[in-house]
Amino acid sequence: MTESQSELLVLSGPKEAITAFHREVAAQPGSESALTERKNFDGNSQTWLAIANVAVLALPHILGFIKDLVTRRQVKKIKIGDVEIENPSAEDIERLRKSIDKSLEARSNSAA
Amino acid sequence: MASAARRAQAEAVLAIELGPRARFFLHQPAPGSPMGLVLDLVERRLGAGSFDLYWLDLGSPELFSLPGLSPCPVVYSRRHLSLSACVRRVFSEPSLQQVADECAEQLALKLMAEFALRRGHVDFAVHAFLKSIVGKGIWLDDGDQTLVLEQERKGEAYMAVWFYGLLHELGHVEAARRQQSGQRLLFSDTRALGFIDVALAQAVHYPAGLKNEIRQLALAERGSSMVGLDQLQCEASADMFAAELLLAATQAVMQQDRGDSPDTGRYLQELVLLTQVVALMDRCRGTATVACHAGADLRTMASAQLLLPPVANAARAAMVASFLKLLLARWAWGDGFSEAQLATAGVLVDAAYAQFAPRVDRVEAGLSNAMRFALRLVPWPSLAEQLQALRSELAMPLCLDETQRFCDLADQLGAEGEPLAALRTMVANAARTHH
Repeated sequence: MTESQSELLVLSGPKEAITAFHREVAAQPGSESALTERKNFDGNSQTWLAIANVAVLALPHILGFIKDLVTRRQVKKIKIGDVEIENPSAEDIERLRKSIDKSLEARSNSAA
Repeated sequence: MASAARRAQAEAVLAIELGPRARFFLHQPAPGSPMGLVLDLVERRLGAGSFDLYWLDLGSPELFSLPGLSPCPVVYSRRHLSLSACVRRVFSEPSLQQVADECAEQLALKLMAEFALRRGHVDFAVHAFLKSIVGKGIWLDDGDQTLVLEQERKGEAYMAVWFYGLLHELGHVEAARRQQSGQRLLFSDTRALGFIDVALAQAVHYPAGLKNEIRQLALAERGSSMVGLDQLQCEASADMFAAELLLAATQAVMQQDRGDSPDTGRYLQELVLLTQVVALMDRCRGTATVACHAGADLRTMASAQLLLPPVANAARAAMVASFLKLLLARWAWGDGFSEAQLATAGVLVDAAYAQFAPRVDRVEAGLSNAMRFALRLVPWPSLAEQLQALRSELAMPLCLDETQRFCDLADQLGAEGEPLAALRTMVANAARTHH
């Protein structure tokens, strides 16, 4: 994870799940998200994408939200920082959350 | 957000959609080139800075847009262009009339294989590729065609092959704006349903119950199903944008090249052809997506993939045909065209669609065979059997070249797996024997 105040997070999946994620991010202070459909010629909108800048402090909450979506098999792909996972499992998200918690803790220790 | 930051975000998304090894770049066309003239026209219509065109140099045959982002990224690829030219031959070359179904089946399987490679589904990709090449009797060059295409006469065919699909994607920028600003759809629900009825009337093999289900789906899943009324109108409006801008761009390019104007009949033929070409390629992408889906709902998804696109495409074609009649009447006689002149334009448009109907049916039969294989509606031979069958055919240089190119694409995409390793070994052995 970088030292910036926010982290770039990209999520892809079906419309309902990705729209819900987009709204959840937008509700977090200091976070923003853009939502788009991947348009091909056939008009079969199977893939939606959200590109979010999530405030670092909101990341644990957002990852918890994503974990719920993952449990319902609603996430096709997630990219956070340099980590990209296709068809992520709840365990994958939990691992990500733990590593972010650690990183946040280390950051607050060094600031202190 | 600053434009550089937006662009960086868009490129992060594209890197995910195209894969970690994809080589894509922001395309800046040479001023005065056909691409430059086309993009100038689009920019005049949509406004400066409303889209970014990315060119994908290596990899699978991609063509898509992300219209929710601003500027809207549009991806166009060398592979899409080359395969478009090849698929167009299947739809149009007189010498292929009797074998169009066979050619379409082989090309469709290969397209599905390439899309599956990109998604990392190596088993399916190799199975589909082997099915496409084992026993192949007609070899169409589907390698890199960009240099050859660049040398062709700058006329109606050149413009349609290079730009129809791209203009359709750029049309989504306008369609998204219309949607966001709450503007009225192009057609009323009654009229749009009328177009679906026209399409269903053509689907003579569909039972009445299925037709009724599709009609209900059009209303119930307006924005998500490909036959949904909103979705259909959104795609049709991108089709119309492409048709209108293609005519204007062809005029500009031909005027600059030889002081010429497009021939209306040839423009219409190419438009109808390229609509079929891009639709076929996209159906292969959709089928590969479903085929790689290992979930329990594969059968439901498979039937949707087989049954809905022909109806959606025919409904869109009917919508676009109604627009083309107006476009051509205005093009030929100006805004004050008469009813009789509109009827004349109508005859031309209907003739262009009718001209290709028998060939489209033949291609559809081949595509349908390929889809049935991909969706496992027919039994698959084992991989070992397919590889064994390929072994003797690799003695043919054309077969060896095509298999080598598939392995090269797998390398470019970073695809790995046992079936690929077996294929690579066979190619290496065959190449040594040739030398």
